[in-house]
Amino acid sequence: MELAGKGTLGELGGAGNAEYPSMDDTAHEIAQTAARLVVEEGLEYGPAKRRALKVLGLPVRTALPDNDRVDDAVREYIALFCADTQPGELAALRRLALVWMERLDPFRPHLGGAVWQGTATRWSDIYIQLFCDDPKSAEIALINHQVDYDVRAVNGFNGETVDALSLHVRCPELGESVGVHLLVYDHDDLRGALKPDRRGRKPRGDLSAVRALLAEA
Amino acid sequence: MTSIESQRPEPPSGPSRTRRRWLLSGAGVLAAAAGAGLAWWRLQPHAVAPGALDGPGDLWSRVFEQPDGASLAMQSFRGKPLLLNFWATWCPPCVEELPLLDRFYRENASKGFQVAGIAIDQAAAVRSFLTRMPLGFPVALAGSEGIELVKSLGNLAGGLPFSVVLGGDGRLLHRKMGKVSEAELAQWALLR
Repeated sequence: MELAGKGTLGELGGAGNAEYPSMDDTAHEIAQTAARLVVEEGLEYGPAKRRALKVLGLPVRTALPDNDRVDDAVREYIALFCADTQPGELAALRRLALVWMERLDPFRPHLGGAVWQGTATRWSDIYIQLFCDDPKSAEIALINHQVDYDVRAVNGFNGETVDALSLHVRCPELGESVGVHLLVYDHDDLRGALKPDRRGRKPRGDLSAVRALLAEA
Repeated sequence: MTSIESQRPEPPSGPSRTRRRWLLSGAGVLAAAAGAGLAWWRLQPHAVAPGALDGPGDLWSRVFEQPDGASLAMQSFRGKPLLLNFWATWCPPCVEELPLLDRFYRENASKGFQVAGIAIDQAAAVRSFLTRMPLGFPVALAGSEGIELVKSLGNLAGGLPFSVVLGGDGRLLHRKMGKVSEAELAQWALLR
């Protein structure tokens, strides 16, 4: 009953007076603009939504569409505009991610973000979450291999601040430099980290899961 | 209502476009490298562990697997000087110095100077690397055993690249942490 009611309202809004767009129209437009920024510029969902407000000239406090909605718009955008190039780019980034995950195998690497979810294009960065016994061990491995990196503190999925070790990595297949971000979590954080989201998708995948994705394609 | 069609973007204008800004919102870049004192400590070769080069389980008794599946016995290098280089495919200075080492090998093999590489890396990564950059000298694979070996030879931090020069009698003649230079190699060629 409730769902049907909402649907009717949405339809009315969609077909309604163009001078007074409904909240739903606005959210839809923000989601589409955000999707374009995600696909074409590699922005994350949060920053893309905020930038979309600016692009559309909407007030900063406008209600934002949720990530599921942006996700749908992203998939729609890719299907419409990048159906020929995106699968190859995604596979190249997944292969590059796999290389780094293998290198960092002792630190329980898990792939997250657009490269894991399948919405990545050549502009997307690679996000690998590490679940370390010793939080400094991953950084020491980079130092020992004389790999250049930047460290910054970012908000982790566990709500706490985690270190992000960011590398510039050449992707020979795409012929360009890709940002690879290693997010350093505690081993304990792995508990519950593979729980599927509302849509039944796993938020991250380990080495064998990424290998399976590549074998599928 | 704006349709998605009307928002069709300009085609990307080239690979340099907006890439590569960092996309993470963060609290700024912290110091990446360790302090100078620690760096100095890291780059000093320390004492070789007792028995690392003589006795049971020493370097000379080791047998490693090669990327093609063959085995490489360290014993086979006894009797002539050996430059042993520890490296990894994802260590940029290691990769940079490999052509230099390969040239050194080609120039000195006839003079009885041997070169061998020990890759502390995944077998598949080393195999695909060697198809892109073939090396004349033998390369062996070692995982955690390689790290332990590097440490036993006095490279306590385990940093790469790491090169040791060993005499025909099995003794340690020289150690170098970090990338070698052509001038250093020329000097090493004189060691016996």
